[in-house]
Amino acid sequence: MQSLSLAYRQLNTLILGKPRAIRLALACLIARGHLLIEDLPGVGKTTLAHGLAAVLGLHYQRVQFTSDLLPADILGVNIYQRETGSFRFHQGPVFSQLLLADEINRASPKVQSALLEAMEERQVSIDGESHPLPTPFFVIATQNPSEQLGTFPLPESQLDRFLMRISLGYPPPEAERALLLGQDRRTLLADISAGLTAADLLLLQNKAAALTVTPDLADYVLALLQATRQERSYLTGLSPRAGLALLAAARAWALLEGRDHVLPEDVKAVFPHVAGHRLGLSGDALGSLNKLLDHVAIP
Amino acid sequence: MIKSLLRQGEMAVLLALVLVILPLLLFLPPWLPLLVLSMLALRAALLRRQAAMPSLYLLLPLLLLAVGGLWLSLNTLVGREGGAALLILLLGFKSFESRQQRDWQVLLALGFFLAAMPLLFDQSPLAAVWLAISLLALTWAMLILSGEMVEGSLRSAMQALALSLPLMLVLFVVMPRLPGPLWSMPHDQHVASTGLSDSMEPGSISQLVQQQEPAFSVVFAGQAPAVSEMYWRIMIFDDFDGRRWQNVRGLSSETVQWQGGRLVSYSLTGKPSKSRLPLLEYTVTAPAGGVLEPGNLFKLARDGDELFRFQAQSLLAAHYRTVLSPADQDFYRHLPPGNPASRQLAQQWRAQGGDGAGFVRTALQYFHLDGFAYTLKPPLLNSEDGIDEFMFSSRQGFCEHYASALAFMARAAGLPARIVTGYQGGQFNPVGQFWQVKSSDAHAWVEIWLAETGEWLRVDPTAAVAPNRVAQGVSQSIPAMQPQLPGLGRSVPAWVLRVQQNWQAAGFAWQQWVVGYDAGRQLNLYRWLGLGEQVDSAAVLRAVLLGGGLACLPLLLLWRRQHSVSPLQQGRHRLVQVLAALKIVVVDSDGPLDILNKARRLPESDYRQLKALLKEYAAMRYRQPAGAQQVKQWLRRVKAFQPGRQ
Amino acid sequence: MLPFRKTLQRWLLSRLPLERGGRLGQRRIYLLPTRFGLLLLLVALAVWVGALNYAVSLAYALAFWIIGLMLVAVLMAYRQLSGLNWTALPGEGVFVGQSADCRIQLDNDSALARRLQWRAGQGREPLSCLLAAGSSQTMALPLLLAHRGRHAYPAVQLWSTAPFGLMRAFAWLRPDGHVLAYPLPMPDRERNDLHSEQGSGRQSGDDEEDFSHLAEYRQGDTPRQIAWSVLARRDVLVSKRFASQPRGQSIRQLAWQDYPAAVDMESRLSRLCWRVQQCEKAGQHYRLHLPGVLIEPQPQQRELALAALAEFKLPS
Repeated sequence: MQSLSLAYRQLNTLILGKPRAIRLALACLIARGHLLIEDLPGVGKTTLAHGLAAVLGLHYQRVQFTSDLLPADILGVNIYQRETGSFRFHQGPVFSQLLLADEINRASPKVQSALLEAMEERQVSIDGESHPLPTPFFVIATQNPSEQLGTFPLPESQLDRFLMRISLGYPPPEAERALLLGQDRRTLLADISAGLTAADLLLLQNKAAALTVTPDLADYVLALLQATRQERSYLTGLSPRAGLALLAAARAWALLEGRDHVLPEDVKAVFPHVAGHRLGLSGDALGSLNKLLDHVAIP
Repeated sequence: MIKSLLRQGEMAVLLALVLVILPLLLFLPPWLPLLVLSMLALRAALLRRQAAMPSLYLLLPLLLLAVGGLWLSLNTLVGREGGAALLILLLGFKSFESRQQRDWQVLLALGFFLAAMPLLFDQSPLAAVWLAISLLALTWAMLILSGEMVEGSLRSAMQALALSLPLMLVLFVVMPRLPGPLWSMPHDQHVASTGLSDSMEPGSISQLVQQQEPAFSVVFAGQAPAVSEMYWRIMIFDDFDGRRWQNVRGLSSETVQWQGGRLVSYSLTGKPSKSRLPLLEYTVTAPAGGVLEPGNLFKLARDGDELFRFQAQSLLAAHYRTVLSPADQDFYRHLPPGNPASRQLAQQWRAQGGDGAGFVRTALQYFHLDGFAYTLKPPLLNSEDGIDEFMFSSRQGFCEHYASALAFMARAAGLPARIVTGYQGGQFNPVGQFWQVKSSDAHAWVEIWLAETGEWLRVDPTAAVAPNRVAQGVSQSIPAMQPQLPGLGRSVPAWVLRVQQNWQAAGFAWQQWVVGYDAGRQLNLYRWLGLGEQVDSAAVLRAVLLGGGLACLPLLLLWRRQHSVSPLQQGRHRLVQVLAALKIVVVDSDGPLDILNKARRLPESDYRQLKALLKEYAAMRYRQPAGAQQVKQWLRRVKAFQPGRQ
Repeated sequence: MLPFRKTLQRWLLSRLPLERGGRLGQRRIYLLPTRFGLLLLLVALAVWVGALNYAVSLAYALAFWIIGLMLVAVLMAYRQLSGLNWTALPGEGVFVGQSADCRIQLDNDSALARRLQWRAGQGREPLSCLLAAGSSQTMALPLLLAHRGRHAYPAVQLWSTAPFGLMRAFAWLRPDGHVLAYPLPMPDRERNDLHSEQGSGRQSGDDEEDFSHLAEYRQGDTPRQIAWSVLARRDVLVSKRFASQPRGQSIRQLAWQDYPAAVDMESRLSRLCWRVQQCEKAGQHYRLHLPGVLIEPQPQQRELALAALAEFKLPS
């Protein structure tokens, strides 16, 4: 726990004025989930991803997604070696512990689904051969919501692969001022020491998964799911899988809050970020989810 | 196994019907209920095997056969016996014709009707208990048949019956009763009445005395008379055939002049036997609901053996003066031939004593002194001259022997005489404040008409032989009787006596308030409740509204209970209210931390208290579900939480 | 009895507003004894008359107890419906000739299990459902859709005779919902050839993209982007950057005008419907263009397109 709060503090010095987003991102990783960051360029998406990798001591790679990217460019290819006369698998960037998939909605659906499949199965199959991905394995994908032209929005079924979607937004004025006066973020990155090892992270993940959830809390989660299914402005309600995701995220959040059990408040904290993209809402439409939270009584 | 069987509503219906029919074994010729019960069992077996029903062509002749048998054994198909018998027979056959749910529902409704049948024969508390059991079974079967789960259905049935009980009680009390029947019904002749028989011969009363059944009960207004003064008249026998006394004459009218006596008011509740109920000697005016017959006897205006209650006044120890025509005098002196020795002795007494009163004195002295014994088991008198045998050789007997002998002697001496049967004495029940007269108090005595005063004089020869019999009761007077009458005469433990008295009191209350609750008693109750001077529609409406409202209270409570919340939610609700008073608005979607967050501006100590309470709340709901005890303690602390007060 | 009952029903229904959902309360719940209930009342009456005649006090008790039981049955039947929440769920569309499910969700938030039966319209078999305490269930009423367009949910009667079968508590619901009958798809292979038609998207091929500059190689750059000549010459890995718009997938046009004027509306719609389905199956992007309606590629496009076809009316 010590090291976790250290990591949290370090990230906060790196990205100013965004404690909540940082916390959500950490919770997402502790819940073994992939993260989707939907935001404008230049607000620090990359820095956050980089910072996360640094504090967690993870091997990190970044891929800029473009329309002419091919699946092999991500996953890797079998290359013929003249010396040995055989094919050797050349690992793509996906073989890292933390993959930053920049502007994922620019890639063609083929590439998107190749990546998302790898995310789901945590392995890559090429030419009938499976190559397991390293553990832990996280994908932090970003997309730019304002650009529509020539992009391929992620289909809903694939959005489900991301545990959470967050947006950073502009920093508050105070933080921005500090940003302007302070050092370059990239140099700061170099100062960050890994507070956690991969083993620590695994431990935290297991701990989060073991947090107590009472029937009363499950009833509350159920009530929320029901509410999304009854709300007419959503095309579909949340699926049972979404319910499990919500619970996993709430557990991680509760762990970050230093509790050994999950409270409705934990569920409420993560709910808009877990539910928003699954309900097909844009990043700005989270207000309706907050309203829903206000209307669903805690049983 | 049983559970899976009962899962079928039809099985439940059959079982309930069996329970309903069972008590009819006591009141109908047993072959009939047994037949129906076995039919129901057969139906259940068919149901279980899912086997085919017997065809209608087989059933119809069988039904006719059974109805024929019924006719042969009962001679009737109507009335309460015939009706009940026919009904259960039809029910048995209907069960074979039931396939769909609707048929079974008809069967069940019939079952409800059938549950009323045993009540026509018996209205004891036991019958009421059986009625409740039958109702429970029927209600339960109704639940199962309509598709409720077997689990918990018995409980639901009990709950429904318990909820409807107050309504039933209110309706029972306030719904108007009719003073008489709507139509008269054929009387069942062969039902043995438990009262006194139509004739008297040696043994007829002593048999009765061995039974301990309550005959009737009496409440005196004011001071009760002495036990030795309580003579309850029922019947008069005026003709002797040498062995048996009977009533043949039945005087058509009688002019009585009552002289002297002490006025006593009483109310008597009892089951009439052949429309007759006992009267305390001598009741001078006819109680409502019947007439006074000559001989100071009471005959009810209506038939039937339903419990009857009346109020009357009697003149204790009055002189019963009436004029007997010479023909009547001859009638009351008539004797069959035989018993020469007794005749001779009677004439001898008459000669000695002179007038009638002298004769009586002599006779009583004879019985008192000449080695007569009072016993329940006298030797059998076999000879033609039974009176002679009793007077001179056996000299052992019960009240009927003495009454019979004295009446014979009086007639032989030329004095008009007759035998009165009824009851003598009674036991006071201090719990219920009433007098209980049992069949063991049955008694017979003699009335002799004295020409000098024109008076029927009561002469009780038993009193001369065994004075205790009249003064204290039968069990005190017959030592030989004690082994046959457990609990009587022997010095019983006090608690046994208390239990007996309580039981009798309960029985009395039952008779008074349940079985004997009639139009008159209802009117009294209406008056007492101030609902009106008569049971008319307005009064009934008032009573129904008043009582119905009260009776619906349990329903209301049940309704509210369904909406009740768990103690934890109750505590949260209480906290929300307390905070609302401080203008801190908490909504349903707030969790414990949200509440705490909203209450941040509370004073430090209050905030800390609230924090502890909410933390515990959160732990009990979301960490480790707490035991009832812990929740209760927490709730107590919540109730003690008073923020804003120093 | 029947005509009267029908009139009564029509009157009841005409008083009801169309609703998306609600909570059943005393204003909506009607109570009538069932046949069995009437029979039992008759029995109570008979027992009462018998008690009156034979002056049997305990029989009075029996008669009144049955009456009391009836009253309790009234209350319990009422409780079966009272406080029940219902919501009309949006129905899923089907093609003409298929049967669609009108779905109504029932929520039982009380601590009491409810045994309900329901039926839509006359002459249909009643369906039953058992709602455990605190549970929800969706009733699906199949509705055969014979012609294209929007079909409103029928009125639904919901009732319960539990627990005794003596009393029937019932309520009518007029759910505000509809199901769509999409046009029956009619194969139109001629216009389905993937290559016969060009979308508004750009042609495939790299040639049209303008080379912009060379940049440092980034992980994820495709082999085609790598400037092999530079690699060969200077042994430095650099990538080509293009200034082009990213290439979109071709978008198929499905338009009302694809057909000669002689083709009538229904067969146009049926054919378009088939083509929408084909595109959906192939994962092909498409744009549906009807007079006054344009459905662009977007999430849930299939539903939107089919709905537009189902509800299409020629603008007058």
